[in-house]
Amino acid sequence: MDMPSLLNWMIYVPMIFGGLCLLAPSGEWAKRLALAGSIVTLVMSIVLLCNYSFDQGGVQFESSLVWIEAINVHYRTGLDGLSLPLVLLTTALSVLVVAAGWKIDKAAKAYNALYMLLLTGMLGVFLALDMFLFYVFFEISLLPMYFLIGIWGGPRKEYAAIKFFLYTLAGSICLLIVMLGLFLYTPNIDGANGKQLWTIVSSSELSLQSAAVRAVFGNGGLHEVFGKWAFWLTLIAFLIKLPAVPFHTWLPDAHVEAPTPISMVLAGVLLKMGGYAMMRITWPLFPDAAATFWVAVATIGVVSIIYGALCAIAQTDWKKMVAYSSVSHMGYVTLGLAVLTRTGFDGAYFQMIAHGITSAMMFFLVGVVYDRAHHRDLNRFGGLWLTWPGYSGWAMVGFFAGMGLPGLCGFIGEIMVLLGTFEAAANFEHQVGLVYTFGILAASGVVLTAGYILWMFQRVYMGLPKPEYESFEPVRGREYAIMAVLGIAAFVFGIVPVLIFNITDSTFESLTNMLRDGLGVLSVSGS
Amino acid sequence: MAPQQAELILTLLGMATLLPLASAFIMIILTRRVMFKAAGWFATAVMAGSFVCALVSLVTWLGVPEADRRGLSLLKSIPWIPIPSTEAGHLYLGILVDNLTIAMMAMVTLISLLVHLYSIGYMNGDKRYNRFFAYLSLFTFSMLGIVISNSIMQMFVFWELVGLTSYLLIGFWFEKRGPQLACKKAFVMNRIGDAGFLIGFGILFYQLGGKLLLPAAGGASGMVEGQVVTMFDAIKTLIEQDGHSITNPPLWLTAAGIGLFFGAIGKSAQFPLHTWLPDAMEGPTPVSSIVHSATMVAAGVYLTGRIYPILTPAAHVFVAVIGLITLVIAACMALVMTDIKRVLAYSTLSQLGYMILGLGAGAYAFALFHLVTHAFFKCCLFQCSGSVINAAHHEQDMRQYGGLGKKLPVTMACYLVCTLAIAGASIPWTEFGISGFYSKDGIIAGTVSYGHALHDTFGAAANLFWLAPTVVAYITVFYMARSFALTFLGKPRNQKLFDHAHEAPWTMCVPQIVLAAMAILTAPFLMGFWQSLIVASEPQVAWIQGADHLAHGHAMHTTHVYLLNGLAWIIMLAAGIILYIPGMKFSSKIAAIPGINLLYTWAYNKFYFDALYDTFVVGLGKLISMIAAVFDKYIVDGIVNLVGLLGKAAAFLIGAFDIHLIDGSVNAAAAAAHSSGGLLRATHAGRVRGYVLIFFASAVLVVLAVVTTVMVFGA
Amino acid sequence: MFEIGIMHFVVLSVVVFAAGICTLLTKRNAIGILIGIELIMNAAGINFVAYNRYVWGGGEAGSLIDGQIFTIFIIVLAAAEAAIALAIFLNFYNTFSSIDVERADEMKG
Repeated sequence: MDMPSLLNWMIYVPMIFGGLCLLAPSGEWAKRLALAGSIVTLVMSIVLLCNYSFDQGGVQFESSLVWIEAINVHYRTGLDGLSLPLVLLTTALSVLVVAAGWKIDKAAKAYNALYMLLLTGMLGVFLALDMFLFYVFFEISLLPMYFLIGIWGGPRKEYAAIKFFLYTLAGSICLLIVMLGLFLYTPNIDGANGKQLWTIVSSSELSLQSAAVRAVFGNGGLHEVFGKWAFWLTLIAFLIKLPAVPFHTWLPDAHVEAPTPISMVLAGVLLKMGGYAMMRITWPLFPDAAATFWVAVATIGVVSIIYGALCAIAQTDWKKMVAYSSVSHMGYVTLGLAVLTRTGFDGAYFQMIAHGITSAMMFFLVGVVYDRAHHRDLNRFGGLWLTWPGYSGWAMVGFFAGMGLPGLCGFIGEIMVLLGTFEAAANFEHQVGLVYTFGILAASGVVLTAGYILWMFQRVYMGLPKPEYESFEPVRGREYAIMAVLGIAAFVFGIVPVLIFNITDSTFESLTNMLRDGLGVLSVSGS
Repeated sequence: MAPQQAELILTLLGMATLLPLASAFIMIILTRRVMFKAAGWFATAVMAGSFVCALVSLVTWLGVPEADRRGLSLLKSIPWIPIPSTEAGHLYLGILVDNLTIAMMAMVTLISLLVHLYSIGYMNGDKRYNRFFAYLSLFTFSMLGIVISNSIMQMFVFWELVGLTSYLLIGFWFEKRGPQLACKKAFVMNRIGDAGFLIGFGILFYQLGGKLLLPAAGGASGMVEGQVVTMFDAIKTLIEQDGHSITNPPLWLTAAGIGLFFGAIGKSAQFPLHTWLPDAMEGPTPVSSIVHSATMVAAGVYLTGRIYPILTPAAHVFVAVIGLITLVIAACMALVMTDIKRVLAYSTLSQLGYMILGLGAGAYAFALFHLVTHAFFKCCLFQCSGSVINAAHHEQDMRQYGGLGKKLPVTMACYLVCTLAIAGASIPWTEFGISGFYSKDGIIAGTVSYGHALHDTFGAAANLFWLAPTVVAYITVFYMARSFALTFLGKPRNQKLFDHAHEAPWTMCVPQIVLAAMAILTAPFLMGFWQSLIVASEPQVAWIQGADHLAHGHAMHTTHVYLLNGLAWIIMLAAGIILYIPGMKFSSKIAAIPGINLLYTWAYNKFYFDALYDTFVVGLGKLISMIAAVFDKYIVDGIVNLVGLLGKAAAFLIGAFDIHLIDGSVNAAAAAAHSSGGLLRATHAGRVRGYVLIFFASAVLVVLAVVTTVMVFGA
Repeated sequence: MFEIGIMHFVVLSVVVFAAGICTLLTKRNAIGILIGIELIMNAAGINFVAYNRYVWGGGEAGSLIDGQIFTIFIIVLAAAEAAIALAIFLNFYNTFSSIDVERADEMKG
């Protein structure tokens, strides 16, 4: 099978397995089928990785079909450095998520089928190269999530599910508006029949397209105002998904109510769609606006870091604390993108991968305890270290990775974003004070992170074991396997970060070259 | 130096660093059953290997003539994180070996080896015996990582790891509340310092760009000779190339220096982040002896020593003032503590303050030499205190001790030697003394000349820079004598405790003896290589006010400082011992004197720093986070819910509109049709004749109408 | 000399028509009503024939016989209608034992 069709198969194989789950004779079979489906997907993504050529910056394994000719919509998929690590994260995490959901017996067939559909949606988002197609997958991933939270969730599941759904949908509407605007305003580009911007600007075409795009939507362009509005609309769409303060409140509710595996995938992959889409759509299409509004965007990032961490400190619900830590961690992504430096971009991207690993692990660690204790009140725990030494060892790995300890993956992203922020002082020479302020605030975020993680660690793991938790059934092999995979991944990526950067390097090179053009506009208009 | 020698040293020091990591890893993954009993000896053996590596490289290094060693750096780097936008292209991990590294490696591995050995006895019977050695080895690895770091970033990496292992070791007995709180406090306070470190690094990174990331001026790997010693010398060269000098230092450099120094404040527990160190004494005593006296807390001093070349005059003053404040308040608190470990903890703080002050004042070599000497005698003191605590069944209050010297003669001897060492004992008016004498007096000498140099700027207040450390030097002798007398001399104050006390096993005694011997021997005339290494590592350029005075200051060491300290230690030692042999009887009377009692209460309550921080920093932090959470829950989420609610209300209104108006009008139309039909139905009476009549009449009317129309309008 | 003109026919037709209407209005007997209808139709027939002659005149033009053809149609129609009506009456009688049209008010509005 050639690579482009393998890639397309990879998107739909989960869906097919999802259909099979529904036909399965029993829930047990549905679980096995879902596991098989995710393993097949994982294998396919590894095959793609093996065939991927790292030096080539552009899109690989591309396939393109005319879909709706009248409005120039294509079915266009492909892989580049921006999507490959996230695809691998998705497929790898999926196997763990299915395994983590092994004990969900309520309507197991429907559950696994919906999860497989979700997997298709997530892979589609990362692999679509046509904006229309992207939108379709963006929505597809929404729907199964709604049911997965709304049916298999906790006590307030309906509220959480509808909140998640409506909030994200509001973002989608913003995106839709931008798509319509792009369709109407984009002139002919590279001599084709116009309306090219349905096609997501891929890195290979960046140099070709960005000049033409900027000529229209950039500062001084014909549709400059639309360009600025569109920047904000897409940004809001993706900041909601990320999520960033003040668009984050769906997250704690969704996480608290969602079952453990769904929390894992929600934090591990779905949030990454926001960051990915910013890198794929917002920044490449509107580099001028990104340079013009960098202060506002960076402020959102820094506020998310500090505010998320502060909220996390105050939580007594363990899962909510982890959820707010996600807000805080994803703030680094926003900040890294906002400052428009290569280091910041690299850091933001790595932070997404790292957070995919650590947040999934943290949610799983919480889930293991919740399954037995049936509550998540931090103040009622204690002494788990003595009750379960092995589990607590992995918990230490997971939470300290979230804390950004060197040697674990959380460190690399944070440190690179910080460096990128300080580096940005060279970009914004008139605003060096602001750059320093952002840098200093983001750096002080590490103190708050230490605060909530360590306080939690003290309350849950330290102390004498409480009698009511001594009768807990021991942690099972399946659970150990999941923790071990995530924990080892946290180590591996923390020690050998080039594993990611080798893949992304050439793609990011062209991406940031293009951003530099945007900055050129700033220095002209700024001075 | 021959290339194969360089290669040997690099390989050996790499091994010395990685061996403890390997042993920690093995101990963590092997199960309790396999590795429980053997863990202690296994870890100690690996540590011995590590020490041998460091020792061989030390000997090899010393084989090179001193003139050749000066300014020599050996480098080995591997790229770690790609930073493509910069000149260096990467953040590097690797090894930098120079005189200071060699000295520190030998010191840390030796102390770690001895503490491992000591722990075999001390931790015997603990239910997490194997875990303890895993953590201890992991700590040693992290500490060695700091020492051999070849870039600031790598130093930060290990900096954090040291923080983690310290957290694990302080919280080793996490069942109890004290260690829980102490380890959290230590880590969080360290992180505050780390944030400063990051900020300082960020400022440098922006100002110097990728050049900063280069491990040293010589590039990624190899042997660098000449005046450029470390990355910071290289940085200094860069800055000077930009036209800056001591007379017009850039402001950002001051900021960056202070930022990086904040890391040292956190790690070395300097004022105002000093409160975690005494609490850290909740950890097992071997931990206190290595992590919180000899090595980790010294890492801050080491860092300050490394960044020494880039500290601007203003930053130097800042560093000196921080050191000054710390050494004074810590000494005051050490005077009044009754917990033996706390006395030693505050003494550590005070001594660290000396080192920091020394670095700030430009007495680079003496400050770092004091780091080495202090490491040995303070480690020994803690081990002795551990032996005492062990003998006293974990009673740490000195008021319960007394007369223990009869039961623990070896420990008493070691404690006495180290007390003399920290006192800076010497034969009066000669140059012969034991370790503390050489290092601490050198620092005080440096501060004297620094005080003179700052006289123009600060006036008479500048005298504090030498006056305070001199006075505190007396206080140091006094409080050490106090703890010695209270513990080992006099009559037993708790007979039951006394009866049960026993000398420590040999695994604990041997390290004490070795360390005590080191405390005597770490003197220039016997182990001069140690000092020579550090002197040789001194940066060539220091932007310090009155740098020209410093040479003079070193010379003064032989004159009036000896006079000041020469006899004083004997007097203070005698006073301390005599006053405290009968226990606290006299001292409590002195403490009750009005005026002194106020000071006593203040010092006893740690100058209320903890209360201040608990109330203002922690309390305020928690309050802010509560406010943030409430804000989030009720305002931000409230707005979201309000939007949802408004949407619902709008939907309700529209629903009502739809039902009542739109659907209503449709229904009204139907109703109108219905009722008009009702009206007309009366005509459909079912009478055929009626129909005919109407039909006919209508026809007639139509005809009439047509005819009339035609007649009126027609023709 | 008294000549029979169009007016005579019209008057005759009016009288017959009026008789038919009166019959319809007054008779309750279904057969009577049928007769009334026949009268009305015949009045129309008379009119057709008379106006044919009046419009086209005699002689050569007399070969144009549109009116007569209409009249014949009316007669045929009347016969058919009478047949159907009588069938209805028969059924009506079977149901109500009467052919009084006043009784046929089951479907009144």
